[in-house]
Amino acid sequence: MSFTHPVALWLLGLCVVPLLLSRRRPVVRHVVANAYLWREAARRVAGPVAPRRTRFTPLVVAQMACIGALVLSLAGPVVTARGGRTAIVLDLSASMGARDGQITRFDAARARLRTLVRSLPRLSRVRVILAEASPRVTGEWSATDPRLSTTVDALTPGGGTADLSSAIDLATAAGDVSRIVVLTDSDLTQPAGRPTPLSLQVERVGHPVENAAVTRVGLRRSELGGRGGDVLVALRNYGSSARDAEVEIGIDGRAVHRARVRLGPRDSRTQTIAVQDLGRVVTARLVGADALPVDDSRSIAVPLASPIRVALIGPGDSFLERALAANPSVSLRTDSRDAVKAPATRDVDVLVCDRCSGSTAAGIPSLIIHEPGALRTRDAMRVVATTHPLADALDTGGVTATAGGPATASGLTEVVLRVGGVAAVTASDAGDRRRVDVYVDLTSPDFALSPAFPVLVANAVGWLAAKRALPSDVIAGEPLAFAATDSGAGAVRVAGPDGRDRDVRRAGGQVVVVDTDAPGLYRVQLTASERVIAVNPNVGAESDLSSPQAVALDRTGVAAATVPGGVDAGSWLMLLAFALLALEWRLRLQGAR
Amino acid sequence: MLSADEVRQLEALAFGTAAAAPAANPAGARVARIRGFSTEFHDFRQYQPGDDPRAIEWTIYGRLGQLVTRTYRTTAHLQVHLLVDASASMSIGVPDKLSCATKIAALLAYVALRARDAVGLATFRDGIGERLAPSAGRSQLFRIFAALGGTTAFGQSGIGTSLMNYGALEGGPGLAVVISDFFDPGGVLDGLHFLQHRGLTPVIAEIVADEELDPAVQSDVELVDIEAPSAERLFADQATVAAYKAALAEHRAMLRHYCDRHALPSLHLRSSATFPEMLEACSRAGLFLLQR
Repeated sequence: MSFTHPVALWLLGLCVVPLLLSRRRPVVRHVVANAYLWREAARRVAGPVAPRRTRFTPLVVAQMACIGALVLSLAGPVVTARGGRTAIVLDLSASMGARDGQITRFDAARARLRTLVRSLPRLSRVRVILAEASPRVTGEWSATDPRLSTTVDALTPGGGTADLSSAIDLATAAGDVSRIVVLTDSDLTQPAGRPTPLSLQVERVGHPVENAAVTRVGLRRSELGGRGGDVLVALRNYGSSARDAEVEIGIDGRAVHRARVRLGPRDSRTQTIAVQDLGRVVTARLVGADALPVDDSRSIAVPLASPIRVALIGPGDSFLERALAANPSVSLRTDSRDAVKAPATRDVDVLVCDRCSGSTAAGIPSLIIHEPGALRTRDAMRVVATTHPLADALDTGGVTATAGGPATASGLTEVVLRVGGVAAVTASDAGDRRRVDVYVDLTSPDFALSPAFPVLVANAVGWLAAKRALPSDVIAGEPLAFAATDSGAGAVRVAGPDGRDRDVRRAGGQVVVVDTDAPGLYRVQLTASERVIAVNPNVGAESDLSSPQAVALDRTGVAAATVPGGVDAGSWLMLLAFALLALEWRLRLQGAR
Repeated sequence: MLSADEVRQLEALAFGTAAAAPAANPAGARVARIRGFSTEFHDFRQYQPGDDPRAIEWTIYGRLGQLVTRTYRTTAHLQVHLLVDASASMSIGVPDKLSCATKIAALLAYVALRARDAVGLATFRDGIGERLAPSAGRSQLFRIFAALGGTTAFGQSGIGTSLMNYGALEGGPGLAVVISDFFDPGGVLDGLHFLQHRGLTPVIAEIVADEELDPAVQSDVELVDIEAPSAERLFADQATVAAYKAALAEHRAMLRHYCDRHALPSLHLRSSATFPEMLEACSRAGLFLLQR
């Protein structure tokens, strides 16, 4: 038998009240003129002291049983024939690490989990689902299995969010779950018109507390290839009262700067600190303890200062070559047209193919300059995809060009620039490879001589190279993905901040690491080098501890997948309580007579 | 206090004890135990210095040469002291014991005052409460009735102490009719003894309620002392009731034994006693004589 509201069982202590009342005062009080003769009589009967005896009279027993039945019915007992299966969804989001008095919210949830497991029948099965950014089943044990306790003891909250809806869906996936218990600090709400199933029990932990967090750390090199730069740190106070915060900037674990910042209620502040040497990892940390330690620190890996290696293949258009050479972040290498057949992908970040006749090398981001096709059009050039990185700072006002691209784009291809009704520049991101196609006649000087041309080339090279670069920081719980080079694809290892190797998956030409819930520095071991990627906590909803985060259960699978594994005995116990009440009334009437 | 019918029944009675015979002397209703000066000769005795020379029997001196003086009886009013217990324990019973006590006090006062005896009244609890000094006359009857009518039962009992206090205020000779339930854990015998020492003859009028003789305790009950409700709690069952009856019987036997040993009149009544039963009890105790 299990209980829907086990807290109500504390009321069972009320059962002794009738017994105490019967001990405290008898039903009948008799007034006598003298007590000393009675006291003498009592002394003769039972010795010097005649203690009040505890008597389980039928009346008292009926009263105790009535209260017991009433309390048990309030606890919502569910009688299961074979113990049933209980799925416990444990929230491992960052906010569960918030201190709530002497313990954390997660400690409170873990204590409730233990209490819940102890209340389950011996034959019950317990499935523990960890609600992280990607929920997962950690295992299933019997209620008395010590491995369950060991596993739960080893758990710690991560730095990301918790997808509770998916976790509940996962809990019901087996189809024979009699009860789902969600231990979270969020406020789960069921959408209107969709009743919460009886078997879903939400145990909320935690109280509102004040908190501040480092919400962002950014870098900017002061000069290309230089060591120094600026560090941008954003702080936010999620509390309702102002506070003084001291922020410390650390380079590779060494503190280099400290600043005191006054944060108003629910206020944000941004600090920019000039640093002579950015090192490999820059960390911003709030000094002093607050409710949630995990969001008090935030790191970013410093991108390498090496230039983008660009290989130019083709007849050597002077405008294109000059545009590439003028870009200080590009290391240009010109190649013959035949080199396309055997590209050195390890040595090339971006391939620029000027009017190549054959196919370009697979796996290398490429900028392809096409011969204008049959649909040659001369018209004003205009930006179509204004938010695309290729259009960043691109001013095509008054620029006329001759272009002959396709009229429409298909699939993953996006038209960025148009000339008349045809595409002038398209960009495609196929996941494993990015590609920019230019259909503009570069022999015509009107566009090639305009300032928009080198900007377009620079944007294209930057966008193409970014696909192959490792990210500087990742939000905890979000997948860490980067392009795998052909030669080193099999040798990539990713170790988390705890030193444990993470499971590396491959999707197309990308390396993906999903298990990034633990914030910290992840070491990516490539074939020839090692890089560091900072995984930072998910601030925002997780750092705002002033009120429980509202989570709507927008899935429909909860009620459907839940199989009633027990019989609700609460109504029967309530009936029994009323029957006992009637019996007590009858006994009382008999006593009065 | 007394109905007309009850007064009619009292008309035929005269107050008296075995030691107080009626006297013909109009100056007093009774012959006193002490010697005095009256016309009724009592005895001879040897002359003692200070005796009135007029009382010397000169004829005896002439024949025998011895100085012998005559003694005479004196006449006096009988002083009756009515001591009524007004503690809270007297409120027990149906009717309560205080009603019975005031009835007895009233009828004793009526009979005594009708015989021109002096009657005093005092109520007591753990000390002397209201007190009327002994006096004769019809007006004293009304004062006594008024005092009795205004008496209510409250407070704790201190019978022994109260009797000692009264003995210190009033002396004998006289009758001290103590009307009480005589429930005093401190004991009452010392008080009665002190009254005797002061020349007063205690008359014990014990009144008990029916429920005290046969408590209606059927099951486990908590006993509440009416004079000390906040005292230590006491619980009783059937076995305790039997032991209580035995203790009560011992207590009453002790009181009777004291009266017998000191030849004191005593009457024992239930609070539910009727007026004829009261008269019969008083007569049996020797308090009333049938007036001829």
